[in-house]
Amino acid sequence: MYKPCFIVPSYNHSAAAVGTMARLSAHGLPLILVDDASDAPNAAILAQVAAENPLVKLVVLPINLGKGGAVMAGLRAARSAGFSHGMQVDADGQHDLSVLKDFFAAGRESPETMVCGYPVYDASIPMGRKLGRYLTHFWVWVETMSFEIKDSMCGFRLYPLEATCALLDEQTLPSRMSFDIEIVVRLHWRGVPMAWRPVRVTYPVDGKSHFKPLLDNVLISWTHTRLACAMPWNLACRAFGLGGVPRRGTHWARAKERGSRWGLAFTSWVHRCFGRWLALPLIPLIVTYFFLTGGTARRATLDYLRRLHQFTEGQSPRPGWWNAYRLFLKFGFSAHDKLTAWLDPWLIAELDFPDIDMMREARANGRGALIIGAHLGNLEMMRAVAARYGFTGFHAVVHFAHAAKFTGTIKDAAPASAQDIIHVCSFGPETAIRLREIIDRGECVVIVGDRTPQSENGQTVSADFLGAPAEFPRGPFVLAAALECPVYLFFCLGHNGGYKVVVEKFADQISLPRAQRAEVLAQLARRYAAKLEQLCVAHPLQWFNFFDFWQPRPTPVSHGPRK
Amino acid sequence: MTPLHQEIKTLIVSTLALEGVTPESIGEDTPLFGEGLGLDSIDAIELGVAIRKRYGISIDAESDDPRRHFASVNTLAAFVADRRTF
Repeated sequence: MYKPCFIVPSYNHSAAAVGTMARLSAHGLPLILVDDASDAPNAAILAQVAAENPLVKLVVLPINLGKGGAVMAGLRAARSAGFSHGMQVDADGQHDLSVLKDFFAAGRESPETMVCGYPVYDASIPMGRKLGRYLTHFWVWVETMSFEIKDSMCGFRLYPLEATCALLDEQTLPSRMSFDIEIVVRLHWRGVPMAWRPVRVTYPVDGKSHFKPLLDNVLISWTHTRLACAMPWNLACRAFGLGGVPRRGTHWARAKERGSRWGLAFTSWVHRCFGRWLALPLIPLIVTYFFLTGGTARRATLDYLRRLHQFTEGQSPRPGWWNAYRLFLKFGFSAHDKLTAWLDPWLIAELDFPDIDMMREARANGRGALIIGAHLGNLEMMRAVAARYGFTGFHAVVHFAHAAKFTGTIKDAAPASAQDIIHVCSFGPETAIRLREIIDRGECVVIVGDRTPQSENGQTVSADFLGAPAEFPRGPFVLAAALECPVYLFFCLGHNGGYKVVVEKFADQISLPRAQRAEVLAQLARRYAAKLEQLCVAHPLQWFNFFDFWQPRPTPVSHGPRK
Repeated sequence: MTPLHQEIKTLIVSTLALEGVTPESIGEDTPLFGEGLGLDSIDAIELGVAIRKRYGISIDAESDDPRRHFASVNTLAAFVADRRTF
């Protein structure tokens, strides 16, 4: 249940605190006021405010703990009082409070998310603090290996209390100014999602600040030194699933594409400026990061390797971290090969395409074709292959939300390449019309057959795959029937440092008579799965399907009056 | 109701081989997908292709709002009237 409150730490700031609290009371929310052992006159004022205002609950600390200590005491008090979220607001009134509504709305919408302010300054910021901020930005990027944390020092945040207090219970955090930094970095390590909102900040001219430029900058530097040293261990812990927020099985279509765009974009940039060979060494760095932080993908990969190992009776690579990492690494290099293929296709040295005539004939006979691929090897290489051999009219259907970042990078790097990508958000009648247009022109549609679209609502067909039933999408086969065109299977596999293209005619035309629809679909899915299985056994570390493929079938949504 | 509305209702029933549904029983504003007629995403593919074949419709990927045109017989008739090439 969503139940937020304010948390206001105060140390001898009583006048400012009283003003800030008066403005906060307009929101009508409970407020936890933490008196960080203020002197007697200030303590008396704070106590009086609490006595007069029923919404204010006063927590008095026996000794001065510093800002971090006071906030932590407030967070704990809020949790024991049954609140779900704590909105930290500094008592000195430096933050623009008009944005609070937006913070609470964001928290309500996504209760697991920590909503953080990042400051927009006016001219009043002192130089000493400005310098500290620059240093800090750099370090936080290093510590989290991402640019996701826009600002680590702004204490204007809505904390989800469950995840935050779990961290406080396990970890001693610094109690002075560096608290704000350390808690956001550690929550990021634990996978707490973060949302960012701009907040205007004014430093009050006569306001008291407890920020001591020398001491606090030294302490902040020390915090960064510790965090940077702890980073590899913590990313590994996150990867091993020790601590952090529990993760649920994520359906691929709902899983957010990993924020790999900057890594990929950077590689692409290095590639263009300095050539392919300088970009290559970056791949293991990026892959290692995603391997350690991508729990869902890593677990799905381990599961796949385990099933494959059983299925081949021990002939495939041993399921374990090393082979899972090798698979990730191959994926990284294959992503890089995609870029290479777009930018300088002639650099893909070895391209073995024994059945090229089959593809030529499919394109030339005017009937069009549906080409079903898989997340096996490097399907996108096909488009580079097409460019190299002078094929035109191949259109790849891509789930929009999922691949948007990668396609974006490709688009930036090689604008011409993005033309033939058909983005679909949901597979509706309009998409079918567009694909039929392509077929009517005698061109080819490329689609993958080993992922279940989110909108299908149980529109899957079960087929044995690596020794256990898995759900395959019905979409590609139904599409093939509706398009009334020949169907091919197509795979592009890494082989001896180059690529080998495997193409096979799947059906001249598929028809799905309503009475036998379920049976025919099951047969088709089984044939597709068998081919995939055969190639997985031959190329065990090239199935780049990073989602739990064997997850139980979703309960079908019942439909209206038919059938 | 125009002849086009009638034609589209017949097309829906015959393409999807809906049992126990007659063209007359489909209301002009009955939602086709989800609640209402209860068509699913596989029906959507078949219906889209049938409309394309029957009327030569083409889709403008940039400006067409997916789902809007196929909401009901009424929206579909307006869409077909606007875009048909034969």
